[in-house]
Amino acid sequence: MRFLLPLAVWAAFMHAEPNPRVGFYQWESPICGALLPSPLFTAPELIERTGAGLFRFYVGARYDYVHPVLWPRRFAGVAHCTPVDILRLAQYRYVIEHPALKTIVLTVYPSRDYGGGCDDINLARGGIGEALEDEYRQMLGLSEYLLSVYGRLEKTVILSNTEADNRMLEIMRHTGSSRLAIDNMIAWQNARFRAVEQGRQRHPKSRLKLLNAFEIALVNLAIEQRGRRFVKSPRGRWNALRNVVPQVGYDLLSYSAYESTNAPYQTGILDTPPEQTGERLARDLAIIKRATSKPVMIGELGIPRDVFDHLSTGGVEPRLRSALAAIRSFRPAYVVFWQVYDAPAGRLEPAEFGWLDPKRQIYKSLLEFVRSFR
Amino acid sequence: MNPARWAMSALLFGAALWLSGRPAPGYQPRPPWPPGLTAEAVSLWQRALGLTARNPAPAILVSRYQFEHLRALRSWQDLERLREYVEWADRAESVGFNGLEIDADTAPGDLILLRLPRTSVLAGGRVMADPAGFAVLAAPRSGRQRIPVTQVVSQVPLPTLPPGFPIRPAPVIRAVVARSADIVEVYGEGFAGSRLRAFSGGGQARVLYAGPNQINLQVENLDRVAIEVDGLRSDWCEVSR
Repeated sequence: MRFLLPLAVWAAFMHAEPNPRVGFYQWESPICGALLPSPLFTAPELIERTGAGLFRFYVGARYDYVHPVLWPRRFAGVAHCTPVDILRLAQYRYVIEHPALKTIVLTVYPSRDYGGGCDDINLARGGIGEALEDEYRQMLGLSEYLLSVYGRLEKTVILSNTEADNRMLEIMRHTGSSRLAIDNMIAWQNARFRAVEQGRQRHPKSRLKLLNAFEIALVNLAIEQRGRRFVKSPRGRWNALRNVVPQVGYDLLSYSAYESTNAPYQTGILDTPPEQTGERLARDLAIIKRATSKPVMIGELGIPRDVFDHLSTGGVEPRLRSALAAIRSFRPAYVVFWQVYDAPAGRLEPAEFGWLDPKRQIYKSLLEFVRSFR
Repeated sequence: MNPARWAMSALLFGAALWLSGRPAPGYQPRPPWPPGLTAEAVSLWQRALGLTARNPAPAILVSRYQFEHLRALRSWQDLERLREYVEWADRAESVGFNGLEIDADTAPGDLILLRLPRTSVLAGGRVMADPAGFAVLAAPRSGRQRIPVTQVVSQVPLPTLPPGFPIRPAPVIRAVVARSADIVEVYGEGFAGSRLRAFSGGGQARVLYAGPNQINLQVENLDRVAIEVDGLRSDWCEVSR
């Protein structure tokens, strides 16, 4: 009995503390005319309610979680839209300072003005040295800001990109050059990691833990040039895992897991037995693990309801259960869910996928996972 | 004012009010595409014309490489080419445009898509038309610059397509699967029509079965396949084995 009491206290404590390794992604800004409060003010409580302690969101010039994406009046009154300028806004401060969120993943994009106002730094061009200096300077500024202003908080902040493969595909389509896409992606990620390392060196006593993640999306698929077009294909030649990861620095390798959860990469057929979702995820996580010595996290795991819930083989929940079993056995450093606990499918709704919705009930299997995955 | 003149003034005033008032309830501006298009075609045209574009800005930074490979549309429902056009045109990256000049930081691989009819734009640099009829500008040099633009009155509608432009869908092949040494199943859309022809690398192929989304063919070589429906031909598609 003497041993059981501390064990019970420990178990109660573990269940009371939000889980810092599991959480949700709030990707969407409000759509036009939604008249909703910023989701950055509403999402933290919804996440806390599930027992999760991790929140991922976007910090960049394309939207401000108040106005629709690329709305002309977004960030009104903000001078340059650097990540630090953005994090000083009330809705962002609210998230960073929220006591239940022990892990914050920022999908962060420094900005430049190409004539149309602030935008993400453009990598679809040669000679991006000046842009990379901006990238480094703004990432260093962000690192220093977090480590000094929030240096007393016992939190982990992860600075990540989103899906390097899709960015590479965009660059290849824009320029017609696979080489330029790979070289720019390598130089860009190294500038970002160098900035985070420099920031950490300058603030060694900070209690806030600052990490840099590099996110990929393709494992078995890769980009192939078919005539003049670049497409994802099982026979493709280039992807970030093969061509970029070995040549860049990072603290965590993040996997946006749609290639595993959507469909077998060989066929693209969605309507397959749900239990295969976990098999594919386990297979792909093992491939990623072999490609790096750094910890692996799942930066996005989503199973969209509008795509899967009407399938004859079963909807989201059996697929999710299967994926959760694979995650339990692989034990990634962090897991971020998307499209399993968010807004409705219809485009007439005031919010879209990626919007944590108070009316949405969380799946029991997911709730149980959030509270027990340590 | 005598009562007759007063009544006449009131009548004229009322008529003016009525004419200047809001459109009747239920009034919808006519869309610039013909009726009868599929939902996907309408969605693509909405994006192509900037009505539901990712970035509503009037001037967008687009790819020179992709522009040089864009193909002319052959019908209002030439979905393959329309998708290519949207992939090129519906970009997030914008440049400044105040009606008189463009403010842009460009690279050699960039062009500027100005969401105005080509026929209404005069500018210092080279101005071209894209497959929808929008103006596309090549900046005179790389880097940050201001490019003067003059807008002139144009009666040319957008999209700029000839009168009587076909509405019927162009065939699109999604996949070709080999079923034996000389039989393939072709999957796609837009296969329904009165005049159907099929081609493989070895020449014309024999049609064994034809449905709106599937055609089975006997071919000489298991290399690649194209389908022609009522004179509109699909792109070649390689056979998966």
